[in-house]
Amino acid sequence: MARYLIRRLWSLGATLVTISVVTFVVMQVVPGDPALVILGHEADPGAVEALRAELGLDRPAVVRYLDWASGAVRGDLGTSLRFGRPVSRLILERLPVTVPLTLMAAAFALAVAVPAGVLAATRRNRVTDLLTVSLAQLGLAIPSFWLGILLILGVAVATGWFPPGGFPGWRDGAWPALRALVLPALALGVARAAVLTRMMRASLIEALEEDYVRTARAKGLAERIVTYKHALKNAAIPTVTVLGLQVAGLLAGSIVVERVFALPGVGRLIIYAIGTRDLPLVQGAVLFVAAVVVVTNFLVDLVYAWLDPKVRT
Amino acid sequence: METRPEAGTRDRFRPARPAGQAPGIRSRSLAAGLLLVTPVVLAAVVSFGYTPHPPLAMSIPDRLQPPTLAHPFGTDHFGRDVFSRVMVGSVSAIGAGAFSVLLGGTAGVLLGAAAGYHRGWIEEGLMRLMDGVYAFPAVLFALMVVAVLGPGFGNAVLAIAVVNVPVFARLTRGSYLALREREFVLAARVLGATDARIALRHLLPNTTGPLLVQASASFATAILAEAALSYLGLGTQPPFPSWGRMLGEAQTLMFQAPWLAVFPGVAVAWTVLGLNLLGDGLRDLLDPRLK
Repeated sequence: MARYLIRRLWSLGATLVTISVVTFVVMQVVPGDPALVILGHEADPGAVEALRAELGLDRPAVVRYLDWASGAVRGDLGTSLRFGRPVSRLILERLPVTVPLTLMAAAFALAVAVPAGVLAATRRNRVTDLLTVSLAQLGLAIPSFWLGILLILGVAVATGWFPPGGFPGWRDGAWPALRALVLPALALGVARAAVLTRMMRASLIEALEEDYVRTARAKGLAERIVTYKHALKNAAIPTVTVLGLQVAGLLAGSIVVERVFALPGVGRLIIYAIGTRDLPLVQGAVLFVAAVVVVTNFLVDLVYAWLDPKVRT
Repeated sequence: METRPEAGTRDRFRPARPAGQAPGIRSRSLAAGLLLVTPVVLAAVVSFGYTPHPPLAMSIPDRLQPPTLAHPFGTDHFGRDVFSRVMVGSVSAIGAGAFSVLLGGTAGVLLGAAAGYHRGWIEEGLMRLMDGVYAFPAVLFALMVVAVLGPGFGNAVLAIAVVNVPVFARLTRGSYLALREREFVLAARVLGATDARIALRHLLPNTTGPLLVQASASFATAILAEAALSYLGLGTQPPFPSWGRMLGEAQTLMFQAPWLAVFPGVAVAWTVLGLNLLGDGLRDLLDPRLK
């Protein structure tokens, strides 16, 4: 396990460096002078010069990259142009929205997918199965932002149980905050639930065809015990892994869903930064989100290796 | 697409059927997919010559009308016919899907073919770069590209195409790595075929199956991504209609005119569902591992 861990850590480091290079390089492709792009073409030449110096554009790209990357390692992602504050602080302030949102969406996806997948796999080729598979296909096809709009119209406005948007913060207690996140988490979680259901169904069907299941059946165990105690445990491993991989989809989806429900999260921050051409903020926030995805996938790999020793070779 | 439950095919006592595949479900996928996708393609083609109303013509007296016979999907806040706009929106959707898959797919296949066939350090470096791009969530990467290049249909398509490059590159490279050791490659080399000829004429045709399956999945993802970018105001720009943009505008009016939020969304889901089914159907037909 130690050797596996070292190899994975090495690969994690390499991937993090690569994403930082990719982020930096993409941000350099700004057509024309970034200072001019940020300030607009009517800007006063003195201000443009000042911003060029502030952005360090007078220095070579490699120096700027090393400067930025070494700052990022220390948690310093630069300073936002519009807010005039450290990018890392701006991101941190918005995590209390985005983190619970993605966790709730993941919990919802799992809560739907495990029973639905088991139901479909154990009733394979019957109406329940067909229905589950069809619903999962539908869940994959519905854009999260459209689902969000429909939930606002059909649930928030119609019943009044949940607010149609906005976020009250955590100061008034957990309940109002969580209530504001229920519908966004649903909108975000449906596609993930669909992916996980398909995964759960497929891996359980596969597990049910394994020799150890035949053995368990042959020694006279009840089908319930065979399914839940023997097959499900093994089928759950790939599903857990896939749940971890869904973090990328969840974070990307949260960017759009936060806009639908006017939630002040990291996604809204990124959209705001794009709209106001706050390139240091875009660069820092994108790197942060991508790094979260990469680190999560790394942790998932470790959990997977721990659960399934065959992977460690 | 993202994660496909890829069940192992194992030779057992009966002909292998991938676990997770219900007979009669997927074999109908292709037909169902075609059934869904065909009207969308037709609508896009027809919209170049005919729409019931001009999609850009504003008519303030007719604004925010609920669906009627004259306007089956109602009218928007400028009195424009939503049905015509949804029709023309299919051009944005299919255009975004087609261009981004063609561009990103071609670049990815060429890079992947080079990396899989040559295996030098340049190719290694290229694939590491591909892995770097691949590590980003697709929409996030596309957003970053749009942030740099500015909003607009062309830039959105370019952004989605870039996201597609590593997907196709990895797929092609994987196939090439397996194929290059096969005897027909040796035979072609003995006959004096050049590297480029072997890579393109002998190896490429053997990878078309998986590539086609990936293309239809990427097509669907591209339509979702274009819709999301346009919803955020970063894709297709007004007045040209796009489903995502229409939904964004509909949200501000959803209490006065809820029907505006229905039809463009149905159009996205319908098309993506059709393409996903088509992809599943193609996989069953073409994936050599399932034969």
